[in-house]
Amino acid sequence: MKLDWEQRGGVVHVRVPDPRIDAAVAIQFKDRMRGLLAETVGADRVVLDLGAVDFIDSSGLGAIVAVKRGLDPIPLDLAALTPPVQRLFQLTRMVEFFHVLPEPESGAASPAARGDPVGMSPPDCAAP
Amino acid sequence: MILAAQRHRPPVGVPHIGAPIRIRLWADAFAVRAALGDLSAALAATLPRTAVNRTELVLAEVLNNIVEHAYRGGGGAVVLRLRQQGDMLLILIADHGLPLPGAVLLTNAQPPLRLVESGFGWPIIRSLALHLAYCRAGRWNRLRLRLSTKARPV
Repeated sequence: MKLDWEQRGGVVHVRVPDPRIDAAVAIQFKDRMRGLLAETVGADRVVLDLGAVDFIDSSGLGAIVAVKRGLDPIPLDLAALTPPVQRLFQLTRMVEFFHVLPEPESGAASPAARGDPVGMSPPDCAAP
Repeated sequence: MILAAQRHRPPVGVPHIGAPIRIRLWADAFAVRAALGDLSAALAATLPRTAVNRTELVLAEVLNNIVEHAYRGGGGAVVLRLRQQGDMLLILIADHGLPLPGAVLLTNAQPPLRLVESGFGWPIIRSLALHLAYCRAGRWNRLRLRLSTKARPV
């Protein structure tokens, strides 16, 4: 599973380009998120852009919660939830524990930044 | 006789998936993903988007439980059958893994209400299914579900 990310000041924007975070990739998602966040320096907030994701199951949800808990006290906010994903967060009442932004704000999610080779470092390549 | 005829004839105007759908799959996370993709594509031809999403999510939770708990990650056969009756999908999921602890269907209906990493599966199933029944028949687990085919009101 690939994750697109960039850091602007203290805010790390992570975008999930795959349409699914399900049981097949939940552990990989969690490990890659932790890996890339471990590389960032001086982050005081992380925004997870789920605008391209149209399916998350309980395993994927558990992985997102695990990342959030691992980051504490740095907040993990969610952005650009698609209707099925928003529904999942409502059903499980996890919406009460996350700050949800309607739009991806800026950074890794914006179409203009997508081709930017400086801003987009896949975590696989960034490892020393 | 009249009842049997009605059962197979949906009310006029109700989108219908047509013939019953039968899927056999191996209990593995990637096979589950592939089966759900095929099924959602088939259902999306006639059912409203929210009904397809609901069906996919519930079946993902049921099938993931089978992968992780009934077969404990070791794999095994799963049979999935769906047919439509009026504005309901009648679903049977069968596997021959470990039996489901009986109490699970009766409890665990509430989501955790804490920031935890697991325990969402059954609450999701319970909150979206209209009806749920489990039985152990010989070496087989049989879970029957009814899901609405109606669009979720916004």
